[in-house]
Amino acid sequence: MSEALKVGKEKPRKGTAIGVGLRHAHFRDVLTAPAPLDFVEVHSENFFGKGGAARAFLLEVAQYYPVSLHSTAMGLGSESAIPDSYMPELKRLAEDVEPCLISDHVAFSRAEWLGHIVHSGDLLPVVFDRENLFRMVANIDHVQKVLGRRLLLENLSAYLTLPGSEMSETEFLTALTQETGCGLLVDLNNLYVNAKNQGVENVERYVRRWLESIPAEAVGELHLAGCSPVAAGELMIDDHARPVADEVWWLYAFALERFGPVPTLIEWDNDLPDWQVLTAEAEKARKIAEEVLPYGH
Amino acid sequence: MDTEQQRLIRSIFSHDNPGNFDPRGLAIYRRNLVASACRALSVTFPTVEQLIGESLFRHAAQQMLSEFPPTAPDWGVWGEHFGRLLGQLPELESYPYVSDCAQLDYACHKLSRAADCETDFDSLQLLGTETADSVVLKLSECFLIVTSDYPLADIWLAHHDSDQLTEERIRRIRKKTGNTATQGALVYRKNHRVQVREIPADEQRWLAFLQQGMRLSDALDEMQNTDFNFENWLPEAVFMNIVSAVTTADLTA
Repeated sequence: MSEALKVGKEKPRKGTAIGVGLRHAHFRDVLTAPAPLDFVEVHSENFFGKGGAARAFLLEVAQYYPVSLHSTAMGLGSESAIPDSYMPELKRLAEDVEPCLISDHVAFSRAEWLGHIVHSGDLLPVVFDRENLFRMVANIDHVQKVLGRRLLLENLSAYLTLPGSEMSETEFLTALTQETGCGLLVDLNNLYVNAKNQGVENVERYVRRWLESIPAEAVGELHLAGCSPVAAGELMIDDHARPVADEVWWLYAFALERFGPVPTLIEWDNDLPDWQVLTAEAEKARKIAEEVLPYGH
Repeated sequence: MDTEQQRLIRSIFSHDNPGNFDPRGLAIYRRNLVASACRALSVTFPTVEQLIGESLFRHAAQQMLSEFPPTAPDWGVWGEHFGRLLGQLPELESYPYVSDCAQLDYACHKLSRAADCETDFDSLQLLGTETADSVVLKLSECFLIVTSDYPLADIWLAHHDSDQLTEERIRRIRKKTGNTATQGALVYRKNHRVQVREIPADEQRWLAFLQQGMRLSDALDEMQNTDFNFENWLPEAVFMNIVSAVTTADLTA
């Protein structure tokens, strides 16, 4: 490992922390190609194995970069309990990696089907009602107690709506933060995708209002991503397969104005580009952050 | 009475739509599920995917979702029953060894995630200071054996080591596949890298004796009149992380 790579942990930068989602295709690059990143984010469940190459790799990366653990499968809004094995695995990983952030989603992911609890392998939308609020509050309290730290909860891109919501998404998220002390991970592309799929005419105004409706002090991370275009009448899919769209960069500037220098992550999960292209996206985010929030903000 | 969450899960996994969900949204979740399943299984079963090709593999993944849907949050632990399912698919009748290949892939995957094993090298000195009837070789948990009526190790190596995929090897595999001799594949891990080699029947018996906790002298007695050579085996076994320690035997046992 070259000295130049020891940027994230040993030479923390001023201003907004910028990171990238680290996926398998870039495992070699992150350790061999110096990149001006403040942190990297991995999907927790991909490193649940007790040993082996993946675990050893992550521990090596953690020596040089702060690591954010982003979970995708806790299913905090599920009617069935978090599987017994999950929290010990996550706790052990967190103890090993000492992550800078830990997050998951406002979603459900499992339910009973044909007599078994089945895992959807996806992030499914929850109804924004009191019953789900109590359920999620209890689950978040449990997770935060086990981990001994604050959890960040991410807003979803949802492709259908379950009936029965009693409050808006932002009211639900705000209540979660107030009841549990958890933070929010605001995914701007998810907001963009939802607005597009709902046929919102003025997407920028819709997202701005959404961002203004959540408590600024609760926001602990921003996610930026791009997604593939779709034909008219089709739903846009948050596939994380493209560069961040111009509209989302605009929203990012607004989000920084509202929330200040919160850690920001570029997510790219499919049709992965070269490492240099990915890190260039991170540099673009840094440039915008520096323009919006000059040092000393 | 199903809840809304149960109805949505059922709608995604089956062809029903009891919740009258937006078909466009439902289609996305269904496609995501199949894509995630294919991706997860291709990580765990790379040999199988190479053997049967993308189209049949996708079909098998869809069948797997119906028969054995994932029950754990971690896709990495899904697939234990994939080998059995492959053996039952009529579309794969021309691949009689695919089920066994899946078992070997799964063993490799399982071992790749297992806790790291360490060898107590100091304890190996007991082999020089103690007699064979007073010591026991402890085996690590960093190896697995899969047996088959097909040349599994050869097939696996042919697919994972491109340098090995020679005409001669292919001819040898075909010839062996036509025979019915059982072949064992030894899966082991060295420096986090999972590797496979053929394991002769004598060596399998030897490892079984050691796993039973047999004293070294007794195990060696059992191996008389075979081709097994302990002096040759030991350094290789230590190198492959198969031996974890040498301990003194419980002489009262």
